[in-house]
Amino acid sequence: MKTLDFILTVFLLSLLSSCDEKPISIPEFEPPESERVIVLEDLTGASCQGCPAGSTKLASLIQLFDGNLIGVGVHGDFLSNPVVGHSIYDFRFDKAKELEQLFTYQGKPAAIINRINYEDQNFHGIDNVDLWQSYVERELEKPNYLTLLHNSTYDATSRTLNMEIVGAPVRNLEGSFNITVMLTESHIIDAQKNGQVIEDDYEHNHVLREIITETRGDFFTNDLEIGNNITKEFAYTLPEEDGTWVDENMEVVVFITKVEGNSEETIQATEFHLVE
Amino acid sequence: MKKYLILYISVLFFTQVNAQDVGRLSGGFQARANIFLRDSLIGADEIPQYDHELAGAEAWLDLAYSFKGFTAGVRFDLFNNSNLFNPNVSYTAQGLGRYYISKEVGKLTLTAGHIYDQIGSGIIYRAYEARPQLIDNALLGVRGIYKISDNWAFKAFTGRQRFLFDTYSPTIKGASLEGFLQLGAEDQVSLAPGFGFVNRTLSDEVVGNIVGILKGYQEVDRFDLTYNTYLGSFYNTLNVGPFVWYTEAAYKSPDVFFDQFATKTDLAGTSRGKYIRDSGTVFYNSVSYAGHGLGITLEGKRTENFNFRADPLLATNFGLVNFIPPMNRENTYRLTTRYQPATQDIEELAFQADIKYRVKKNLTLGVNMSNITDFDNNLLYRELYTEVVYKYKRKWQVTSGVQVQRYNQEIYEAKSEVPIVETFVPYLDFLYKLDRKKSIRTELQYMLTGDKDGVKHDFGDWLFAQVEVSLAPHWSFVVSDMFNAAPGKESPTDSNGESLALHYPRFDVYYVNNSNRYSLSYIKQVEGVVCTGGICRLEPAFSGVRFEVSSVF
Repeated sequence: MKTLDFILTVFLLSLLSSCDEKPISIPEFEPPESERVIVLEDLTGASCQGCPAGSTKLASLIQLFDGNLIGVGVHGDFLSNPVVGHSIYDFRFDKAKELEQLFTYQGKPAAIINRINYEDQNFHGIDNVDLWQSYVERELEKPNYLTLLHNSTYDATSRTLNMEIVGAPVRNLEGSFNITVMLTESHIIDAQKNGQVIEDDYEHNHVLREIITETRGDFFTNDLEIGNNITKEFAYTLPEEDGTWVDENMEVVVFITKVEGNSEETIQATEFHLVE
Repeated sequence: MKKYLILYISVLFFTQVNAQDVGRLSGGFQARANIFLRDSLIGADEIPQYDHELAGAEAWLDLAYSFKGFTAGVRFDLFNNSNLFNPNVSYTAQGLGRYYISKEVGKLTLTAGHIYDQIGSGIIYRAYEARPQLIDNALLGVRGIYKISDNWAFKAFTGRQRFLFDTYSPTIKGASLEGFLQLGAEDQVSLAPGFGFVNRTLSDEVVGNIVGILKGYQEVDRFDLTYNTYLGSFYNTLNVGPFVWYTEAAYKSPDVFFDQFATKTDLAGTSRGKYIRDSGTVFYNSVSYAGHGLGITLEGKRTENFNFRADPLLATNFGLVNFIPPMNRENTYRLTTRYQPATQDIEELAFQADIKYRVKKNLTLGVNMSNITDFDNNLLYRELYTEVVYKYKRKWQVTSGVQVQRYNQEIYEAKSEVPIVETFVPYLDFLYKLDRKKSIRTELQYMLTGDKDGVKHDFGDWLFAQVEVSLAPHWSFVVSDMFNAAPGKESPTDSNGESLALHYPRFDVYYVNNSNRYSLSYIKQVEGVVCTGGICRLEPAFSGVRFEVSSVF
């Protein structure tokens, strides 16, 4: 018994003496230099109390990764319903709901980053807002395969947009590729649940208003080969203004995804103002 | 490795059957099959099970073999289109959910595999299983228990916490020393002291994720980070005649956790919720008296910054390493369980008193009071529960009383702009025995809720009625209905925005034969909070047919 007492005492003392640990140093952030542009689709909603934190983080990341990150706020279905008694607008539409249902997520806000279902995450949607930056960094460190160019005209009278999208491969890559064209709108003032309050004058930015292609994109090409450019043309007429659909506040988002069965990965993206 | 384990156990079993000494094989089986019937009125829709999967199932088969101090066991788990993991998505997987081997070698018992255990009341460590919420945080590792003497035992363990069919990457180690002492001339006083210690070491992967987060924080929000967190606790049970006093004090060294109320500064503005690093404490006391037909229990608990997970970046019920005791009564009637306070691990001050008095052999009175606040005395939960149980010979029994609650829905359900839900629930439970084998039991409850500006709180008032007919030894039939008698703010509405007073019926048939139990149910269930010992989660509405079977052998 005494021998065991001694052994236990030494064991416990050794545990205490091993509690001294050198703190881990946190390096300063330096945005990676990259030609890639990442798409972050934020599954959000007007009735989602935690979503303003996601919107704030997205806005901060867009500033931080200046030019390398595009944000899209997807008001699909879950918690995307207008705030009863407060909302003027309803941002939901069928394709946004279809888009949201393509992904698994635990709660909102949740970020779909370059359409990738990361193996170290339990769900497609990353609902830990503080992790979004590290995943964007991870994507920017990958090689770039494609340059996207656009040639567009917008007639404010007829509210018609015509655009030509050109993909110029800079690296060869085998596979099947789709193109997705979206319209987003910013500076929409409407209600939003934020924690325990409802903000009636909340500014909604990067709201997905339309997917011009199919929800999962239209066919773009098979295999990327340097020197073989791919051109696609699209046209879209905006609905009449109803307080929203303000053409000066709208952006066109275009991205190319590599599709393998049910999984996909965005390899390049671009964004431009509807009204230049 | 798993295949060889099963083969080894099988060979051992059959070898021993042929030997003179025979081991013992035991086990249990539990399965549940759901057919999902879409009902958009109550919100049972827009998730895969209702939209296109239509059916789902969960099953667990436990097998254990013991022979001369040797025990081995396996458990097969199956999930098909299950909504247990996450009520809003579908989960499908199957495999060995548990395997273990244990051997007594003199005073030492060694176990390897998936281990369930706890230290003290669980405040610093508890590995357990709660199937209704798919909580299963067994430690995949090794444990040794050494019996120092008849009254003292030392325990140590190490491993990784289970997550479904995998483990989280951080490692967990722990140890405890527990004893028993009897004092006094006639051993009227006994002490059962214990000391516990737990250490969690983060993996490089988790540290990398946290570093990535901190890189994105502004300087004002950053903090130092270490790989290790340490927890220690002292606990003791003192018995003096009819009095029992349990006390536990626990400390956690600085640890990373998410504070949903903390303000974070971003480039684009501020937002609520961020990771912080701080130490934590829990102080828990329970004093009880039982004698002369009177039973009194008084409890008090103070919790500060005691969120402790295998991975600090996990949320909701994932990765919990410890278990902080709840401080409210475990109610059983449908309406009295509608609002249950989830244990708060960041900040909570709670008290509970429970008194039972047996007036005479067939009459018992009971009252329970609980009060939970934060450190600023903001009310989180308050409950008064009364109970009268009267038995008339062996013919009939009535249980009746009232429950009064104040429930902070903003905190417990993260809903915005909602008042403290106020409820008043009278209830009546009447059991009548027709004969030795037949009985009828009826329940009646009414929930009266408060109102704000003429609108009822949450879902408003409810009426619940149930009739249960038992034909021993095999059959039971239950019919119940939960009716939204006076709809509230959150009740479903029609296309004109008018609140709907909906019925939520349920029909059950139970059959018991030896150790097998079968049930078939048709269920319409309103959304609500499901809790297991203070661990809660929001459940969406359910509509469908459910078949369950359980067996012990």
